[in-house]
Amino acid sequence: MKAYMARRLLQMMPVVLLATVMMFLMVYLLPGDPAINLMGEEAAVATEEQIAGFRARYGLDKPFIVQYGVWLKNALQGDLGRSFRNKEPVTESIAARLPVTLELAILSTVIAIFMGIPAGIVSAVKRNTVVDMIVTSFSVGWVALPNFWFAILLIMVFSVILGWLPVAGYVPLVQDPLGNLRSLLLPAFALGANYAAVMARQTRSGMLEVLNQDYIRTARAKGLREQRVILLHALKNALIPIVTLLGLHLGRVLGGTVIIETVFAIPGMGLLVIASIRGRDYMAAQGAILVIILGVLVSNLLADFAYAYLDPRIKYS
Amino acid sequence: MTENHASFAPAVLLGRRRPSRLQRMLRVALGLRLGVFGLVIVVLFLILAVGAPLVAPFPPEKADFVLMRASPGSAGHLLGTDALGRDVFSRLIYGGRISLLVGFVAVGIAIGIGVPIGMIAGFFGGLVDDVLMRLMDTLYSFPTILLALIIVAVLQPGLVNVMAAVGITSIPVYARLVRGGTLSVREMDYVTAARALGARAPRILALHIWPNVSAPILVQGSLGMAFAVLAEASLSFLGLGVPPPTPTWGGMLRDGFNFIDTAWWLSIFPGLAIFLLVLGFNFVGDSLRDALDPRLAH
Repeated sequence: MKAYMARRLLQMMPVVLLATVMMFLMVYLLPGDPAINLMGEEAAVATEEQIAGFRARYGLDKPFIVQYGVWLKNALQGDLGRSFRNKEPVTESIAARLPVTLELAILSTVIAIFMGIPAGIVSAVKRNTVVDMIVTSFSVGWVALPNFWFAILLIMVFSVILGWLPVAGYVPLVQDPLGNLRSLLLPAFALGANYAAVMARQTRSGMLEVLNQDYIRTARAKGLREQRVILLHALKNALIPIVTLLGLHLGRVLGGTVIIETVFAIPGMGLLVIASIRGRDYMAAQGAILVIILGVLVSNLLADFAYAYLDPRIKYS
Repeated sequence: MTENHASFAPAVLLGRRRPSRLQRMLRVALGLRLGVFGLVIVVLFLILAVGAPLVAPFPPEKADFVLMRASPGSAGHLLGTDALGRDVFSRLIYGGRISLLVGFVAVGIAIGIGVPIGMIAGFFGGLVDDVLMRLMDTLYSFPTILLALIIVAVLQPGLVNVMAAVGITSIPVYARLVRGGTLSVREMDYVTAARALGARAPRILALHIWPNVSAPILVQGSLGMAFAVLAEASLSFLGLGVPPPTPTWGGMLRDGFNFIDTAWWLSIFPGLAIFLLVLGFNFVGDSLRDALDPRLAH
C-alpha cells in the first residue's frame, strides 16, 4: 500500500508541473496589455518610459519562460506574488476565500451523501416498485438539471416567495453560525443535489449487484434481520465505488463553485477566479487557479488511496 | 404448430450481411423506451432549431419598448417578453440553434482530436503513451467549466471560440476512452496477423482498431452533447459565451435573473429548455450505453 501511495504521488508530480505550465501560459496569453490594464487611469497620462518602467518593475517585460521560472520558484516557497489590483499578497486573498469555498464544498457533499445514499438504498431494496421508479426518475432527471438554474429556482421559492433564506451574500461562521448556515444552505443544496442524483444511481446499482451475492444469501439464511443484512453486509461493499465518487466529487465541486458563487455572490475561490480573469489580474488568477487544480488532483489522489485501502482485491502493479 | 426456422438460420446462409456491432447497439437502444423518448426530445429541438425562421413568431432581436416584460400569453407572446420587449419563445428557438451548434461542433472537435490521441497512445504504448496520457491527465486536472472559462477568456468570447473551448475541455474523455479500447484490441490475433502481413500502423489503426473501438464513442458523444449544452449555457450565464444580442439560453437566464421577483418566466423557460435538451441527450446516451452492455444486447 505504501509503495502504491508513493508511486501515485510520484506520478502526480509531472501532472502538477505540466498543469502549472498550462495554467501560466493561458493566463499569460490573456488578451490586453496587463501593464496598461493595471495602471488604470494612470496609463492614459503616462509616457512610454513610465509604462516600460511599470512592466520592468513587475517583470512583465521578461520572456514567458523567465516569468514562469520566477513564479514557480516563488510559488514553491509559498509566495504567489501580489495582486496587481489591490496590491495584497495573493496568498492572503486565497487564505480569506478558500475556507468559504471549502465550507460550501463540504456542506454540499454532506447534502449529497444524506440525500443520495439513502435514496439509492431504498431504490435498490424496493426494486421495481413505485418507490424505485420515483427515486430513479428523480435521479435521472436531476443529473440533467443545470445547477445554476436549480439555484435560481431555489432563490425564487425560498427567498423571493417564502422569504425564508437570503437571496445572496455570505455571513462568516465566526460572526454568526446560524446566519452562516442560512447563507450557505441554498448554494450548497444547488451544488449538492446534482451529485446526490449521481450517488443515488451509483448506490442503487452497487446495492443491486451486492444483494445478489452468495454471502448476502448466507447472511439471510443465518436468520439475520433484513435491516442488518442491508446496512451491515450489503451497504459496506456497495459503498466502495461511492467513496471514489466522493473524492472525485470534492474535486469537481471546486469547479462548480465558480458558477454557484457567482449566482449567490459568495466571496470564495470561484468569484476570485472570475474577478481576476476579468480584471486581468495575472498574479491573483494564477494563484487561485493553482489552488483549485491542486484541490482537484489531491481529491483524485485521495479517492485512489481510499479505493485501494477499502478494496484489497485491487492489484497495484 | 409452425415454426419460423428461417429466423434461426445464420444470416450468412440467408445471404444477409451480419449486422455490425454498431447496428446491433442502435437496434437495442431504440428498443429502450427512455432512449426513444430522449431521441424524440432531441429531434424536436433539432427541428425547431433548423426551422427557426419559420417557427419563431417574431424576429429574436426585435425589441418592443411598449411591451417590456409582458407576461406569458399577452399580445401574442406565448412565453412573454423580456426586459427589452423581445419575444421569449422566439429567442428560445434561436437560442436552441446556438446550443445545438456548439454541442455538435464541440463534440466533433473533442472526437477529432481525442480519438487519434487515444488510438496512438494505446497502440504504440511506451513513451508515446506516457507523454500523451500525462498531457491528457493535465487537461483533466482542470475543472471543465474553469478550463472552458479560461480558454474563452484567452480567445475572447464568441461562437467559434466557445465551440473550441468546450471541445478542448472534452478531449481527455475521448482520449482515455479510446486508449482503453485500443489497448485490448491491439492484442487481438487479427491485429497480430495484419502486422505479420506487413501492414503499417496507420492502416492497422484505421482498418482494424478504429472499427472495434468506435461504438463507445457514440455513447460518449451523446453524453458529451449534454455536457456541451450545459457548458455553453454556463459560459453564457457567466457572460463569457456568445455575446449579445445573439440569443443564448444561458444569456437569457442571466438577464432574467435580474428580474427574478417580477418576471418569473424569464428565469423559468430558458432553464427548462436547457434541462430538456440535456435530459434528451442523457437518455439517448444512457440507452446506447445499456445497448452496449452484452447482457442487455442479447
